[in-house]
Parts: sequence; C-alpha cells; structure tokens
Amino acid sequence: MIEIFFQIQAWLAVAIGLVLIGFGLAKRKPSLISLGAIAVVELGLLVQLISSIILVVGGARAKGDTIEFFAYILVALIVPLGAAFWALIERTRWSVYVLAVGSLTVAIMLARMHQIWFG
Amino acid sequence: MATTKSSLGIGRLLIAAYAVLALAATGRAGYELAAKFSEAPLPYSLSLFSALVYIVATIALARSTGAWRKVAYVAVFIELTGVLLIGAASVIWPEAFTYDGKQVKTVWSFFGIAYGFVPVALPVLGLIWLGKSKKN
Repeated sequence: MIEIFFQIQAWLAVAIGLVLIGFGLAKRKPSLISLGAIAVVELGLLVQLISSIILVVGGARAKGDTIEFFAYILVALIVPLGAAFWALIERTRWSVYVLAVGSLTVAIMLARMHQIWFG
Repeated sequence: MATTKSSLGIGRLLIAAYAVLALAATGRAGYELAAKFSEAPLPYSLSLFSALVYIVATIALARSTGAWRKVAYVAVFIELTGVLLIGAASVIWPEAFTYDGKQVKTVWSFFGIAYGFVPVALPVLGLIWLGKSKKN
C-alpha cells in the first residue's frame, strides 16, 4: 500500500459517498454520473490491488498480516460491483443511497487496510 | 419480492446495510478460519455463526414475503440475542474470550463497537421494518 495513494483514494471514496447521499436527497435516480462515481471507487481499488501486488513481489510486507490485507482488498472489490449491480436492476433513488453506502464502506475498509499495512 | 411499496423504499437501505455486514462478517470469519482458527476457537466460531446469520437475514429480508418473512424474523431475532448476549459477555466475562493474555474479539464483542455499533442497531431497525411493512 502506498501512503499518498491511500490518502487520495480514501478521501475520494468519502467525498463520492457524501455526493451520492446528496444525489439521494435530491431524489435523483441512478445515472451515468452516480454509476461512474462508483466505478472510480472500484478503479481505485484495482490500482491499489495491483500496486500492492507489485510491492509484495518486490519484497515488501504488511506490518500486520499480509494475507488479511489482501483479503480486505478482494472483499472491498466486491462492494462497488454489488452496489452498481443493484442500481442497474433497481433504478430508484434508493439505489443511489445504496451506491453511497457502498462508497463509504470502501472508505472504512481502506482505513482498516491502512492499519494492517502500516501497523 | 416488491409486493408492498415499503419493500421498494427505505427498506432497501436496510437490506444494503445487512449485505455489507454479511460481507464484512463472512470475510472476517473466512480469514480467521483459514489463518488462525486453532488460536481461539470460541471467538472465531462466533464470527462464523454471526456471518451465517447475517447472510440468512440479508436474503430473507430481500425476499420478505411468505415463509421468508418468518425466516427474516427468526434471523433478526437470533442476531439481536447474539449481539446482546455476546456484547454483555465481552464486558462482564472477558476471560472467556482471552487467549494468550489477549482478548480476542468477535463481530459482536462490545455490542459491535468495531463496526460502529451497526450490529446492535440493525436488528432493532430490522424488527421495526418487519413490523411496519406487515401493515401494508
């Protein structure tokens, strides 16, 4: 895990979660914007996964358990996918909140991953 | 599914929250089981049990008609009992969860403090929602 990248990604996930709550309050239905926002969260996780694999191959290890760290990334990757899948099936404003919950969940999981990696 | 208006409404958020908790508990239990089950069998078994209850509750709440409704009630009730009992036990009787001088946590320890007390809030909201959606 790379510190600066973690910071950008975690705060972006929080910001996207808050914006999506705003969209929900404005009673907007899932759109390309909200689905695009959750896609950004997913993309960030993919970059995190790839960069962490490169770090570990290069000999780096988490201060905590490296396996647990990767378990977190893999589970986190499912969250935006599940939320987006839901929003595609059910195009109501409640799905926008589901996207928001997904984004904030990823932010919390990133914070935990940071704990595991940096100790 | 979607037989009542409320099942399309705010209840969706509840189901989403359950899905997140089911995923979190399953991920945690899976890791504990695979990596270190023998270190602390009781807390890790409880993690696995809570994961299973959350999975059943998520599916039952999402269906929430006919027999699924009863399953949802039972699952949510087991969950409430679990989080209250284990939450209380972790406070009153911490030795039961202590291995090698260190207290091993479960999803329900200290009423779910590690998960922002969501584990204690969800079953209450779940019961309220099940009660309300029945009237429609």
